[in-house]
Amino acid sequence: MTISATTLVHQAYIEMAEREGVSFPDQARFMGYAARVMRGVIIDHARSRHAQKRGGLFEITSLVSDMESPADDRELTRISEALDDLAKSDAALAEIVDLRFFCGFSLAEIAAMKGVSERTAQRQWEKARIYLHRAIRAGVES
Amino acid sequence: MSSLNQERWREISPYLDQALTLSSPERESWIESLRAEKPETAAFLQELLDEQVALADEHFLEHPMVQDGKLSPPPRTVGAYTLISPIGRGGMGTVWLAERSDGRFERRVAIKFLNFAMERAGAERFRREGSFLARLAHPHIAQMIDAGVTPDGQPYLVLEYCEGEHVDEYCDHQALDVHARIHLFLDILAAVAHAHTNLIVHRDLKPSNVIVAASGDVKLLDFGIAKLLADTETPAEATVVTLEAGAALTPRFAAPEQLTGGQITTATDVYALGVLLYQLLTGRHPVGAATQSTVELVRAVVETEPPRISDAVDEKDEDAARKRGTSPEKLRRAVRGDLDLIVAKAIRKNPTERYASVSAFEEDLRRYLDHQPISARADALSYRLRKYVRRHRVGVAVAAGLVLVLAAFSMIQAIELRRITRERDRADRIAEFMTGIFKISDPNEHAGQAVTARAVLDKAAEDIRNNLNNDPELRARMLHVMGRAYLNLGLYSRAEALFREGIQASASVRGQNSTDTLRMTHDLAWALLQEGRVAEAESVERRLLDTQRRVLGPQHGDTLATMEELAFTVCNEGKGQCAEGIDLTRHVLDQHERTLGPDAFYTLATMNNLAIMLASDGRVQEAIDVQQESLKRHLRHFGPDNIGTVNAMLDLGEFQRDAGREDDAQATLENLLAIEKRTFAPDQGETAATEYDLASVFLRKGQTDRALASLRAALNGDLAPRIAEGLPTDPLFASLRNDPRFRELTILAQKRFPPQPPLKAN
Repeated sequence: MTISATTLVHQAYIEMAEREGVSFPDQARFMGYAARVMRGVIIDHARSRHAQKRGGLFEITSLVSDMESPADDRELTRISEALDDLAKSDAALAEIVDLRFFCGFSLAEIAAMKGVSERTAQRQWEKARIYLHRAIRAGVES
Repeated sequence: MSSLNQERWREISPYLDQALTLSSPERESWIESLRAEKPETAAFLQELLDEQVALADEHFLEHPMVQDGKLSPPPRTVGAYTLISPIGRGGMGTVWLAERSDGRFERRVAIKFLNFAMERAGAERFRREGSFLARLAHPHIAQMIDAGVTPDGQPYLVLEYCEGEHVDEYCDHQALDVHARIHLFLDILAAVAHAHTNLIVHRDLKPSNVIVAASGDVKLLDFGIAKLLADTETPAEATVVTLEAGAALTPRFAAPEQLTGGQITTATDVYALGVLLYQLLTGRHPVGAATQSTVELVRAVVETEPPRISDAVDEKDEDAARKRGTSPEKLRRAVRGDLDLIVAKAIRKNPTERYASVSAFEEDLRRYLDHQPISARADALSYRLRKYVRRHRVGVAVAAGLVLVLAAFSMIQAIELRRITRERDRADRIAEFMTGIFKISDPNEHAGQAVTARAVLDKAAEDIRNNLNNDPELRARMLHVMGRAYLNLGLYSRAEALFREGIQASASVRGQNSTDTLRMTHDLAWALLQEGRVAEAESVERRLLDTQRRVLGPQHGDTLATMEELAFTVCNEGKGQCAEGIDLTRHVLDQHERTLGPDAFYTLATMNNLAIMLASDGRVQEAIDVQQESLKRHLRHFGPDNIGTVNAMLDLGEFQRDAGREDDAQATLENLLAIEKRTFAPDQGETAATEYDLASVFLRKGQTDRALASLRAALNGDLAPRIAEGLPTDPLFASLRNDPRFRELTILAQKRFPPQPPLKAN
């Protein structure tokens, strides 16, 4: 799964610009929102690529890109769905995953952004990973 | 592994927090004490902590999707332009509203960033081709102003900025009626025609690429961009371009040749325009719902014959009709007939069967608006004509057995010839010739290879040409026989060649006006008609008819046969000459009634032809009247238990169905079915044909279960393989295509009637 990061940022920016009347009291909340949008853009790409793969029509070989991920398209989609579930009971955890995994921020950056200790950020990240891992593996096996 | 519901997660969450803050030894003893207190919670917690170890091993989520693409606003200037605000995002990239930084032009532009990065070599070509497209100027085409690549390799296009709505939304919001929609569509056609004369094919026409301003002004976007993307691609960078060019052609809007790797031509745009018109008129898409998977979609585009637009109008979709200023019933009537045919011709699977140019498409729509006959009608008539052929000529079945029958026929002819001439040596030559033909079907002669009917015929034709040169009369006669054999096998161009040769031979031996020469000419015209060379067939027939009138007289059977054939030919041309065809047929009918009698076989066959022709001309009521009279005579002369009577009833049922008189059709066909069940063996083909027609009537009446039951009965019977093979795409059953029970039946059809390898002419 590969798309150019420039494209990604452009698209995320447009998605946000298209929603009129959205304003953010602070940088942290803006970033949380932006990260969610970013995930949406990535998942859209993953889905469309997955759809094309099923069609067997289009093939992407190599890539001019600054973004690569070993994650499988289907898995990405499942991660995203599990994140939506997680956000319902624990929005902060979901946001950390958006920022860390989908936007590439370091835990130190995230901690600074959200005004928590790095240790807390680290703990939330671990917790979210457990949740997602379990949700995804359970989904696969059931 | 148990799944994780929200409640369970909220419950365990504080424990997990606690566990994660503790160091390893602390954690162990804490869990130990918890286990004593709340054993279940402790067990679950332990499970989750074990999971943490496992996920760390597989580096779960450790590699972010984006390494250094931190969110930050994109650059604000591109080349000489300043970006103002984003205005859209599509398959190919993002689009921004922009203006010149130096204030030299007041005009605002749209800048399209294409979703891929580019290397230096590609960038040069991209700029060059972009400047070529920039020369395309038309009031209904959004002007391309510039094409370039940013220093970091991001290609972009500077385009005329068009404000407005997508054409389908515009039409709906304005509640434009069918005629207003066609007028708007003609503007689109004019723009595409202009681009085609400049050798630029759009390749990606769809509603979102056609913008209509509030003033009603149409603008086509993205002309030639799909091609620009495809061409810019080189093996080294066959990368995202492939994806984007691919994504640019949404399978839903792509022509079959775009999905099968065929050649992209102006006909590709004709197809896309046909799909667009289909949507504008009906609100439906010809290949069906958008929810299909890509595979299904591709199959639909490439294989499935779409329903006629009048069938695509949903009776229950009041909303779609209201947006066209009418009711569903009226909308269906408005698009039925000429518009059905025009749209169908534009979206043919085979590019060569579509309108030859956008201008021809435009011409037919204008003719429709002016109430003049349209060219697409010829297609519909040849459909009827095919039906005529099927029913009244020797079937086009393909079987080696048939060739044997034909060979036997040749033998009889040869014997007859011998009887007449009493020439001993000729008989020997015939014997030798026939042996030659059959040698090829002898396994010893043709070791290991399957002998096809085609091979036998080809060998025979070659023999006639090479070995009968010193007997021109026999040669002429055999050429005729073999020509007919090809004709019956559907190998029309081969038949034509043999007839032409035979006519020459026959004319030189027996004279131009001999019965044999004229009969061969008659067959030649038929072959031409089958090849679709209608104009040539017509001119041959007219000349032949003149000669026959002069030489044989107007009442001669051969003259009448030519008249009847000419009738079909002119009707087939679709230039409003069906009237002449019907007149000719009525004349033939009169003659037959007078000389042969009202109930004679040929009289009744001609009546049937007349009815078919009337139905082709849209005069279904008259067709029903003629057919009812024909049926009456059949019953009088042959009684109900006769194959001719049965066929007459079947036709009557079809006409009634086509006239929308489903109740009458049902009564006729059910009555027929009762006769067939009483009289025929259960596997008689006519019974299956009746069930098939009955199925279509039930479907029209909305009785899907009965329709499916009848269809199943037809498929279990001896249905004509050609009809069975055509089932998946038969427009009569278009509305069933998404029904799994119907799909099951098409599989049954395939099993019972496996496709025959077609005989192909060289």
